[in-house]
Amino acid sequence: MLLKQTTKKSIRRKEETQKNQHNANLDRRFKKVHYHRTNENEPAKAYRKLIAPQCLDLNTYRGLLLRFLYFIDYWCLEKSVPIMIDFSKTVICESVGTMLTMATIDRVLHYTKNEDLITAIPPENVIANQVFMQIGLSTLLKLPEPNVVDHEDVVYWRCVSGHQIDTEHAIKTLKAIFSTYPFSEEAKHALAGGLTEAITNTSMHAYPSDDDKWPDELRGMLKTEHKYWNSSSSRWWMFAGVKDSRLSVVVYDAGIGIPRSIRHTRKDRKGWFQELVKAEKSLVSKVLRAEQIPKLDSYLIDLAMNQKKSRSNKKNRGKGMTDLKAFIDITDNGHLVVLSGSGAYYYSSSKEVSHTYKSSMRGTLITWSTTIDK
Amino acid sequence: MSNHVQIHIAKDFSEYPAGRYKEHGPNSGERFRDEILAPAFLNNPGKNVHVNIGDILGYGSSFLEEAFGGLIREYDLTKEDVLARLEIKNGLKSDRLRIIDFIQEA
Repeated sequence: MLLKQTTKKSIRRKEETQKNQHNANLDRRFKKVHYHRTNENEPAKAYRKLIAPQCLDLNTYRGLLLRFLYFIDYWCLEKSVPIMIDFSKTVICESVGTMLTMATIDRVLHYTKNEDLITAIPPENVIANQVFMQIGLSTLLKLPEPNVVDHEDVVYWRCVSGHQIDTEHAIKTLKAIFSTYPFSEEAKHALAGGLTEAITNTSMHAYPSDDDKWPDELRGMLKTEHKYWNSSSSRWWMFAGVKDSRLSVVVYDAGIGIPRSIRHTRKDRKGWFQELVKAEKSLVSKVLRAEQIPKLDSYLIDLAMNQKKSRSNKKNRGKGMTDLKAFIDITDNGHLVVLSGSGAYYYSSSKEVSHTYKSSMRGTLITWSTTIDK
Repeated sequence: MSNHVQIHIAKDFSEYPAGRYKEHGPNSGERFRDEILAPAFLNNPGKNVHVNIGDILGYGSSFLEEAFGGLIREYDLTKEDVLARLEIKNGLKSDRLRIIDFIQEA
């Protein structure tokens, strides 16, 4: 028994060491300086080369992808250093991971208004290259585009972005999918209603303005983030696609995230938190005793999804989260996933679970998915 | 002279209604309420108001609540008066019921 435990411990330690070594190598690679000359008459410009992960996959390689995205932010926004992203070895473009990558690049370019800040080497993989073109990443990065997009896994991918609550493009994207695949009227309306409400939430809660009355302990942190927010950066991105007879619709914002938004209400924060404690006393006290604050992320997302109360603390507000679940309640094989900070919330007709990851992501990502009858 | 006023959200307001307040977007529930719904009730005393919610793919609760629930909160109208004069046409039954709920809960 003791031997078993020791072996397990040593394996875990070895894995931990390997992981740290890998991260250190990755950091070193990201920090290396390269020089690039666009024109023979011009001096070579220094830039950082970022090797993109082989798999842009948030589900399986979450830590790796988030670290890669962090370095895009770090070099471009913190250091104002141009980067060249090498996607040549990228072979797997999972929908959520790819959209997150695109949103990060789009956000940085929008904020800096400097198109030359990010250049890229396109994927050698044909399908990955087609994905880049189909969702607009090739255009964004001025990459050479493939002549045709004909792979069946790629053709039905759609990606749009918007600012404020302008849902026209998002709803039109859904209508295009509904015109090809059969859904009941109730299901169509439920998904569109959930999508509309998710976009509404980005505008109302994700990007608090300077005059929002935040608690003192948060103000400093938000001020740092405000450095990289301007009127055009309070954006959302939407992806919709069909793969292996499964429809996925994803909405992402790069704002403060649900846990922070709900934890720090503007008014009567103490009362609100006491109410939560009363509602789920055992779980809250357990979490708080452990002082594992990140664990609260999944807990707070769970609360946000299940309580009719929002950051505003108004009686008439906070009803929108129910809209997000409506599509799942109607469809047989539907799944809703909400990721924010280090928390995750999964909802289907048969289960409702929360999970906490080690790595924390910026903003909030909501995914609806369901199987499609051909 | 018709004994009711007709409003068709998709035609008279927007095919893409979304959001709660004006500052969050052009097609918000607040703008619909202030510019179309409330004047229909206030400028036509005694007349019914028929609101056609059809031809729109999906309503968010924020829009519906601010438009219909807000009618009671922000204007000098009672729930009883609004419910007696309001008739929701077309759209999904679930949306029609949500609107009634939002008025009753306001």
